[in-house]
Amino acid sequence: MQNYFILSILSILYFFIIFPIGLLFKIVGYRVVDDRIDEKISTYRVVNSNRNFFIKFLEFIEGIKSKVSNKKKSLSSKDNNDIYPMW
Amino acid sequence: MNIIGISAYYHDSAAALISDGIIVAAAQEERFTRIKHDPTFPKKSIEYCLKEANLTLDQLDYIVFYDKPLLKFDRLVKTYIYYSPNGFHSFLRSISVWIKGKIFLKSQLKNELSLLSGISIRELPDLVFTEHHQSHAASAFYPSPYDNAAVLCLDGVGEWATSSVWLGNKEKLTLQWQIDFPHSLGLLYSAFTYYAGFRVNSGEYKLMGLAPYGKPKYVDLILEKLIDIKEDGTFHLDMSYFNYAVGATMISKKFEKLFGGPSRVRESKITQKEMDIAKSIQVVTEEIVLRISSTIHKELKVDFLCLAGGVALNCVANGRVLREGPFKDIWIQPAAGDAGGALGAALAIWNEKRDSSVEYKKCSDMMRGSYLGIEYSNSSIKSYLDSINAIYSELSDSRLLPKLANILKDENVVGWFNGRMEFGPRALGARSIIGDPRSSKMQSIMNLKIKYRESFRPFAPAIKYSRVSDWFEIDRPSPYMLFVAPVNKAKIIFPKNNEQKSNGIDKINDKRSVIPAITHVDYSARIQTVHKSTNPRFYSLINEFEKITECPILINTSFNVRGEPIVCSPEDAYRCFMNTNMDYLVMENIFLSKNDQLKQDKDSSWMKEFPLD
Repeated sequence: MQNYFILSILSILYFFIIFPIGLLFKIVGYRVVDDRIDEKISTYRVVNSNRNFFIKFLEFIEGIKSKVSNKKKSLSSKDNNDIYPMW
Repeated sequence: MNIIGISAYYHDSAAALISDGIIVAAAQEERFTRIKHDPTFPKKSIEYCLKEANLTLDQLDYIVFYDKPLLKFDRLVKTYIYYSPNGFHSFLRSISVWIKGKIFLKSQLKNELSLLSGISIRELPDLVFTEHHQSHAASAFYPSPYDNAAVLCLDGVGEWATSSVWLGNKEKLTLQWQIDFPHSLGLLYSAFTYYAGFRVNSGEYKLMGLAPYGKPKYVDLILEKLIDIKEDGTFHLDMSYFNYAVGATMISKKFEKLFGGPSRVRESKITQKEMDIAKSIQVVTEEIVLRISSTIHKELKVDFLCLAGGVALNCVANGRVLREGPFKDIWIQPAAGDAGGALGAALAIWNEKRDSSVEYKKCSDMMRGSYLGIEYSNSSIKSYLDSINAIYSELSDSRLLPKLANILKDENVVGWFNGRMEFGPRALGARSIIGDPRSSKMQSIMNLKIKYRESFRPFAPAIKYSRVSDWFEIDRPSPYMLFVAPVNKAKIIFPKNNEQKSNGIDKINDKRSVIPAITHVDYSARIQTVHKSTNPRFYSLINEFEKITECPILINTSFNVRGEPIVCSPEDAYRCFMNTNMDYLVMENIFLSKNDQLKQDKDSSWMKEFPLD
């Protein structure tokens, strides 16, 4: 039952968020993943990997999660000292 | 400062503990749970590491996880957006796994650690995360003997990076550049592994072993259609041929069409096509690794190279970089795959957090031969054997080793269980099956009657380091079995009139050298140099064997059957011994002969526990 619920939510998420964003990106020509073969350039190396797009969103989720769990524990949790977080 | 590193939840979960920069213990979870490539939380490995260091979890300063799960999630979501509307089924499958747990991995890890230790979540040491390739790079550079070196990490994929180049300078490790997903040398090799009918993340070494039987017929096709390689070795793949980004398989229909048919069905007969495919992708892989090595040598101007990541287990490519590449020497992390990430994560944080006023000192082998796992005393082995009424004798080394040398000389196969278990995928003389490399029948006996594995797969020689140049074309240590080198010409038996007697897989039956059991069909061998300093008992055994045969080499293969993790405990070893055609078993100073044991039917159900790899 729980599985069906999750799959339904994910299907809605896919068709109403993932797919439209993907379509929009295709229309405006924005490559969120670079899968091009380009014979004109001399290297495919990446010096500064673009990781900022979803990080804010992920921080937001983690922030909500921390707030919820902080209700159960002290605010002086060692989590606050993280210098190597999950992202 | 005590730090434990953890890798888990993908494949090959492991734990490693370092204490003031010294690697105290490291182990893979599969050895304890007996599930090959076990990805679960490495509870037993952590317990072992803490026991070995005589610590409890609350005495640790940091717990480090080897990658950043939210960055990985970021990559997944972006990939699904980019490839939409393709990948819907894969999206449902993988994202449901993520939202059920992986996205909250920090809480999951803390709960597991709390359950394991019995201490509250709040009292746990700081839990921190390093990037996947940072963990690999640290695992390669910090234990290496070099103060300044380039570090090259090549694997399937971590968060975004699939290949990365680092510069190591004393305690500093700085990322230079990387190649991002979906372009991956590891995944390219895995795609061909899949096409040749072997299991991905497990059968890659079989493809490497199959390559010498084939011809590089498909190299031009691969270079023309599948991959664009630049002069500096960086590359992009044509993703229309691959399905791994958002699909359930590695390759697309277009790939199968390009190579003239569907993937080989697993366990079906291996044909010349698979051999040619294996050779072709091996040639392309070597070309990329050689080009990148040359580029980073030119740009970083250092003499030494460290390698890590799953592709660094490709010992044929490593051998070519060593022989043909520009570096004076190379050091490769023996646990180059994800298990080694646990060690690298711990080392990265230790180097970040340690007291900077303390001088950073390296030694020649911080991995201590990679013998970092659990060991068993004679008394605990006897206690187990007594409990099952096994028949054994206890012999001192002075009696045991000469006796064993004679047993080996008579073409018997011996299970060798000695000291601390190895960390990494190779058996290095702690949990090994050993035999006489001069025997022409030993290769097929070991493959078909003991390991129950494919007949084409070669065995590795363990040789006294002082004699390695006499037998192989290599002049430096290879303690972790990570370099392939040609057998010395003086030891080779060339076919008369340059005629190959056999074709295909049957080539393995031709006698090509005075040590046929370890000579592959291209006259090469995957060498392990044995050093008195790191494994004195194994060294002494080879020494005894040399005294009576003038051959300072033994066959060394992992102590397991096909699909089984390498044995860990005396119980695992005894079970493997009794259910295969092994003749003798030696566990520390305890000696067992198969003929002495009470006759019992072979337990075939035991084999079924291990799915074929």
